[in-house]
Amino acid sequence: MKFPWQLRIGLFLIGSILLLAIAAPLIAPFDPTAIQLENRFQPPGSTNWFGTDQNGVDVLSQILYGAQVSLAIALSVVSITLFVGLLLGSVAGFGGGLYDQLLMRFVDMIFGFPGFLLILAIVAVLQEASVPNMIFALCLTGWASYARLVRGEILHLKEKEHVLNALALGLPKWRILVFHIWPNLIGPLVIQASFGLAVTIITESSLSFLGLGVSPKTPTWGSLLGAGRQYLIEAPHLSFFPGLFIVLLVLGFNLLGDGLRETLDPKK
Amino acid sequence: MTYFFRRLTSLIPVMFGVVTITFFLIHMIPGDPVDIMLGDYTSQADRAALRKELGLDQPLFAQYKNYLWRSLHLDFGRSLQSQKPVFKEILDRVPATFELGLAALLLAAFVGIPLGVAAAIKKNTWLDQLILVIGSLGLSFPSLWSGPLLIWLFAIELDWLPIGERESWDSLILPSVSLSIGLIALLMRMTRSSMLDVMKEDYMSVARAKGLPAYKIYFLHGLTNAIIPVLTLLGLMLGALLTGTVIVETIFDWPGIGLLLYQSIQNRDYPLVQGCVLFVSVIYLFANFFTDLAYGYFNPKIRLES
Repeated sequence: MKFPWQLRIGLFLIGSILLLAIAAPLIAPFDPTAIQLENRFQPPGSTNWFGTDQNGVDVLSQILYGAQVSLAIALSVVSITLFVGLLLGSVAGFGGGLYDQLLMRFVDMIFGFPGFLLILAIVAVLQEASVPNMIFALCLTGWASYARLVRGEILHLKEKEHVLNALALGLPKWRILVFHIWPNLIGPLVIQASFGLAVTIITESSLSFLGLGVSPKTPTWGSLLGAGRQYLIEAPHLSFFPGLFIVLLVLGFNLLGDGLRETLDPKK
Repeated sequence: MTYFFRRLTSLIPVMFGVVTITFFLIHMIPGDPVDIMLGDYTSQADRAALRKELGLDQPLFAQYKNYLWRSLHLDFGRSLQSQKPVFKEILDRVPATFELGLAALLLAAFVGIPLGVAAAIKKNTWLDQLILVIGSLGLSFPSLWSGPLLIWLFAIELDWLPIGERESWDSLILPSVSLSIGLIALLMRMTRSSMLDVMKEDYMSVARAKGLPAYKIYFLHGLTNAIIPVLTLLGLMLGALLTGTVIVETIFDWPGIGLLLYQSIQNRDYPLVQGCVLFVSVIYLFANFFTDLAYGYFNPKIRLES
C-alpha cells in the first residue's frame, strides 16, 4: 500500500521532533538555564549552533527542552478533550432526547465564542502561569469539536445494519456503543486529533509568546519567540529558530491530518 | 423572513451565555480581585471604593443581575488605568482593528481565490501540487513567527517599510500580510475543492460545449457557483481574524482592540479585559449570524430545510 506523501513527511517531522524532545537531556549541548552574561547574543556558530540569547543561554538547548513542554501540553490537552468529547458526544448521539438538545446548545455556544480569546482571558485571570492551569484553559473549549463530530457520526451509524442487529439481539447499550460503534469512530477521531494537536500547539505558543504561558523559568518555543522579539535588531536568530520549530511541528501535524484523511476517507 | 427570525432567536441564548461567561471571569481570579488589581500599596479607602464600584460588595446574584442590565445598556464600567469608560476605550480602538482586518481579508481574497481556481483548473499538475504545498505551509505559519520575520526582513534589513504603529498608509502592509497568510491558505483550499465540485456539473459541460472562452467558463459559470460554500468560511475566518489581531497588533504595535486587550491584561485592568472579551465575542456572533443569513439567501435549500 502506498501512503500519500503528506503522511510520510508529517510522520517524519513529528517523529524527529519527538525524538529530539525525549533525548533532550542526552543531546542538549548546554544547560538550558545556565546564564553566562559574557556570552550574550552570540550569533549561530560552531559552539552554539543556534546562537545564545540575552542572558548568554544556548538557544538550541532551550529549544530541545522547550519541545518537551510544548509537546507534553499539546498531547495532554488533546487526549483529555478527545476523551471528554467522545463520552459526551456518545451519550448525546446514542441517547438523544433532552440531554442531546442541551449539550448541543452548549456546544453551539462554545463555537459561538472566539475560542482563543476566552482561553486568553482565563489564563490571564488565573494569575499563576503553570502547566496545569494552561492545560485546564486549553481543555475548557477544546472538547466541543470532538463531541460534535462523535455525535454526528453516531447519528449516522445508529441506522447501520450491524447496530440495528445488535439492538434487536438485545445487547446492552454500552456494549453496542463500545464494541460496535466506537471502532468506527477511530478514523475520523484520529484525523481530528491530528489537526487538534496543530491548533493546540499554535494556541499554547501564542499564549507563551504574549507572556501568559507557563512560567518564564520553563522555556517554551512560544516564550523564546516572545523574548526574542525585543532583540530583532541585534539578534534575529532568537526569533528565527524557535519559530522554525513551531512551524515544522505544526506542519507535521497538519500534513499528518491531510494524509490520514486521504488514506482513511478516500471519498473526501 | 421566518428563517431570519429563527436564526435571530437562536442567537439569544448564545449571547446570554457569552455575557455570563465574561461575568464569571472576574470571579475566577484566585484570592481577592481588588488586591490583585490595586497591588499592595493602596489605602483601605481606595480598596473599599473600588470594591463598591465593581459591585463586589453585593451578593453574587445581585452582581450578576446588575452586570446583565448594564451590559444591555453598553455600560461596561470604567478602566482602572485611564478611568475612562470601558466602552469608549474600546470604540476608540475599533477603526484600527477594522482597517487591519479588512486589509487582511481583501488581501486573502485577492490572492487566495485566484490561486484556488488555478489549482482546480490545473488539477493534478505540478502547479496544483505546488499550490497545495504552499497551502499546507501557509496554514502552519502562525503570525507569531511571520510577524517578527517580516519586521526583520522588510523593516530592519531592507528598510523598505515601517514596522506598523499606524502612522502612514504603508504601515498597514506588514501587519496585514502577517495576518492574512493563514487566511490565504484557507481560502485557497476551500476555493479549490469547491471549484472541483462545480466543474463536475452539467452546466459546465454545456458552457464548454458552447465553445465559450475559458475565462467565461471558469469565472462566470464556475466561480460564481463555487464561491457560495467559500462564503460560509467567512464567519470562520472572522474568528481567526479577530483572535489573530491580538498577536499581530501586539507584534506590530498596532493600536487596535487586540493591543488594548493585551495591554489591559498586562495592567491587570480587569474591567477592560472583560469589556474587550465581551465586545469581540458579540461582534463575532453577529458576523456568524450574518454569514448564515447570506448563506441562506444564496442557497434557499438551507433556508427551507433547517
